[in-house]
Amino acid sequence: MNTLDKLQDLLSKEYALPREVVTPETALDAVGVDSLGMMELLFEIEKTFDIVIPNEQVELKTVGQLAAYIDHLRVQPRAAPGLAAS
Amino acid sequence: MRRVVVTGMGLVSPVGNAVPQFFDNLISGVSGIRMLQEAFSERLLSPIAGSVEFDAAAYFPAAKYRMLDRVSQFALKAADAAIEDAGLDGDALLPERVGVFMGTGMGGAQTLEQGYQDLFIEQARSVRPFSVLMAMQNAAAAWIALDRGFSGPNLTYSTACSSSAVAIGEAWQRIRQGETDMMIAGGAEAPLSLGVLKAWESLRTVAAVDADDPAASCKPFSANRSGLVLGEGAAVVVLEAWEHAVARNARIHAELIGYGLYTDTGHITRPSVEGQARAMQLALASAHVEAADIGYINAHGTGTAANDAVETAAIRQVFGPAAYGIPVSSTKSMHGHLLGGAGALEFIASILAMQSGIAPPTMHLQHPDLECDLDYVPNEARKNLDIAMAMSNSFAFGGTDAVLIVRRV
Repeated sequence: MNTLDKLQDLLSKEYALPREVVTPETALDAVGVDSLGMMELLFEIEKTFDIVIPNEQVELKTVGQLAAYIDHLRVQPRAAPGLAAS
Repeated sequence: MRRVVVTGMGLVSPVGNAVPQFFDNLISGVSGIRMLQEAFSERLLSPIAGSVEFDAAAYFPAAKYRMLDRVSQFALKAADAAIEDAGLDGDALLPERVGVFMGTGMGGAQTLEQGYQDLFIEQARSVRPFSVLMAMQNAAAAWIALDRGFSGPNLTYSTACSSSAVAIGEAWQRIRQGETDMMIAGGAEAPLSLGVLKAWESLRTVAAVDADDPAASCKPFSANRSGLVLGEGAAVVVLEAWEHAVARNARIHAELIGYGLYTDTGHITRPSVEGQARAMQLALASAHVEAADIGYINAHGTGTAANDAVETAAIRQVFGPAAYGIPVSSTKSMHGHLLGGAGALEFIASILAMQSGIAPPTMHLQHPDLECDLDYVPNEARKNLDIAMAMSNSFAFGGTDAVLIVRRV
């Protein structure tokens, strides 16, 4: 299963949406992910993909962009652990 | 001072999540106390509690559900029901004139416990991002206001077992003094986690399991009482200025006429006769009524050795010889002790008893105690009563004793 598939599964489960509604083009805010919800989603993604998401500003608007970002992090050496609190 | 009436009631309880079902069960002597089924229950000396059946995952939208501790899930469901009962939807309200006061003893304790488990046991790298929002004591009150846009005062009271009686009493003051027209008030508790249950167990205040019938383990005022049984749930009422309720043709359940608040400074847990009596006297004084006017008392009646004997003596001190003629019952024998939710739940029970003229029983009272010699309506509801006014007692660890008095309208 590739990253996009896993992410689509995760979003459909977490937001109780039919799987077919969550496409690569789907906007994250249309799924129900607001700025606060993104914190929770990043937490789930870290666990699901066993990655550490650095505390950096990245423009992520669609499911596809988020999947690409996860792939980008998966080939990076692990970032320093810990997300700085806002 | 303005008159204040109750126009909406909602609850989530171990004996039902709808007001009529709740009262039917109480007057039928149905206990919501059960053996806990969770895996952790084998580690408890008394694996019993008043547990709630409520499918919160189905009730709330998924994104919101994940942000709510169990205590807030109960509170929001009860608030929705109270607001629906009050017929507020569609009525034009001034949002600034509507406030929300809630009570809770331990708030989002389950979120904290889960976070500690993840962090210390599972060695998780971080805790859930919503932990702060879920665990904060004011989460329930905040969500109720957010959901409806009520921008009046929003406060959360934490005075242990009297928290929600205090929330209702303080809300009453706000309307009475003209600062608001309407208040959503009540409380909630979700204490059925291993950590919280163990904490209560260590205090040696929890009842032993009745071997013949676990549902009968809480035995207030009985000589063989052995302690309290914890319960979970929430209760919320809509309080409203009388003229505001009349102007919108609201159905009025009762008038809240008295609130007594007294701090027992003798001991952090041990109650005193003087303290409990003084709270009742202050409530009577604020209502401008005599002890003889009270037709029913919903006792704090925890089922502990200390409370029940002290509360009995306090009622005798306030009511004199007339104390023997007043039906006094502890509905905790059926729904358990909801801690921060108890005062509001029993306030609703008191209103329903007054409205129906039926005093719910004190269940599982088979062995009279010489120290507890009042009419506790043992084991069977008392019907055809003429209850013009009812009193609801809530006494607390920490000493914040609160008493509410309602009048039939």
